Amino acid sequence: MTLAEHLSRPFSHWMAGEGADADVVVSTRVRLARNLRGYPFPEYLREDMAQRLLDQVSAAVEVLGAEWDVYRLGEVDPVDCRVLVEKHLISPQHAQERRFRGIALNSSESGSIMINEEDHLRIQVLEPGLGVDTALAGASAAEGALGGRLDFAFDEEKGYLSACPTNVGTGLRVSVMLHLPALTLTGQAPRVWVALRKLGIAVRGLYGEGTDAAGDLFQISNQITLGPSEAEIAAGLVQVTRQVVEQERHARGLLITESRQEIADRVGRAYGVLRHAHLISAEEAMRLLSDVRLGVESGLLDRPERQKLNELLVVTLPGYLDRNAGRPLGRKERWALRAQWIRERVA
Amino acid sequence: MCQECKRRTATVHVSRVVNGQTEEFHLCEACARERGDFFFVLDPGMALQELLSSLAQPVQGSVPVPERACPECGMDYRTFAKTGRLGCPECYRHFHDQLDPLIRQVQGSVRHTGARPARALTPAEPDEVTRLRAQLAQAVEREAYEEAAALRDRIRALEKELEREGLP
Ligand SMILES: [Zn+2]
Ligand SMILES: [Zn+2]
Repeated sequence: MTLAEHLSRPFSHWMAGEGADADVVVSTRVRLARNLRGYPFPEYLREDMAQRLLDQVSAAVEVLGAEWDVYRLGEVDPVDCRVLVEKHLISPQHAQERRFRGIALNSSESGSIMINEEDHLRIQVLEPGLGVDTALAGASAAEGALGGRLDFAFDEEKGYLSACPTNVGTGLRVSVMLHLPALTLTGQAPRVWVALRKLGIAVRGLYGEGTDAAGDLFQISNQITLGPSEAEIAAGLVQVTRQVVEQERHARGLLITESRQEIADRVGRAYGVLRHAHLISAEEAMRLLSDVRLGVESGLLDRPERQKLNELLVVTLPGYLDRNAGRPLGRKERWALRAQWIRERVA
Repeated sequence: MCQECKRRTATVHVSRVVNGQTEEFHLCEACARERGDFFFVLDPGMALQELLSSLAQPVQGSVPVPERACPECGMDYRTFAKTGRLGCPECYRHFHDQLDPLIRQVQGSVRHTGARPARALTPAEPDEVTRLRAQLAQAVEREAYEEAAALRDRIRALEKELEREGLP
């Protein structure tokens, strides 16, 4: 599959809107950090070695089968890289410094491997809903297959060795993206975050750090990577996630029974604006899409479906809009194109 | 104050490396989101990374900072204390004495119990023998002699292999 085919398609496997607890959990991501023995970590790689490593990993990816392709970011347009970031397939850091870096993708985009990011390999699997077991199995299978071709740096005591000691051991980070409008609206979210952090769980807004979450979307993930096994880390995160999901459902139930008119009004107004706006900022779009999503999940609205809402999270972002227009857009053009995408999709 | 709208308070501080030069932006949330500076965070291990960097700063009276750089990649400990990132896998061994307490504090453990490379099986095999011996004892207990015989054969074969490799 060509990279252009990946990029022009808004849909990615994680957006399917299926899977367990999909009324609250948008998606699950599992990643394994791996490094090759005998090479410095990417930040300290000489150019010729970085090139050699990229070649070696690209060749090894063939073992994963025909639905996988490797793209060299040095040959990819910056706007295209930005779309990869917006589709959650690579990190912003990976898109910034592109030379000697690569991305391997499978055709459904459920699997991706960043090559020469902070670690030599970051093997990732994205699943819709709460799909930790599936994602971990997928990432482990890919890791195992690659391990037959590549010599991963492993220490008897410390496990898999990573550039930053915060990833050492399993190299495993499990993250789930949650939509928590009711916990936010009822002011309970901060209390939940404090509890989660005490459990060693990191909490982030979807976009950016140290800021309020855009669109009531949050990511929670394990911090500790060394000590417990992969299965234990995964099970711990699933357990915590289920508790948050229950709290969110409870808060939604309360909102609907106690303030039905207010919520129905809020949701209906959001839908009306999205359905009819001709100029809309990213911020307003995110906020209103969250209200509409709450409406759909609470049975106050019967459309748009989850998959459409998930796609809108991506197609309303600047990179995607610019790429589709085929040129960098001015502010007003962008607002107009965004509004148009939304109008077509919420109808 | 936000650089873009010059109206709202700047709450988002983005630094970006462009051609080796660090550029800094100070924006309000609305403008940052508009520019697409809000990104999906692929690695939320940042809090730990900050903790690690602060812990890695040399403190008087603690384990002395090694003067010698890592023989494999040439990175010295002061660089690690600044960045929180190591130079190569060998750094873990070279800076073991400094890293161990650090990793213990950040991770709560220094012992990996998870997956291991399928190819580096040799050192794990004594464990495998132990496991098989336990199974053997159970099989004998249950009087499952056929199973026990098969287990005994596998243990012998493994022990021979380990002997060849010079392991206990
Ligand atoms: Zn501003
Ligand atoms: Zn080193």
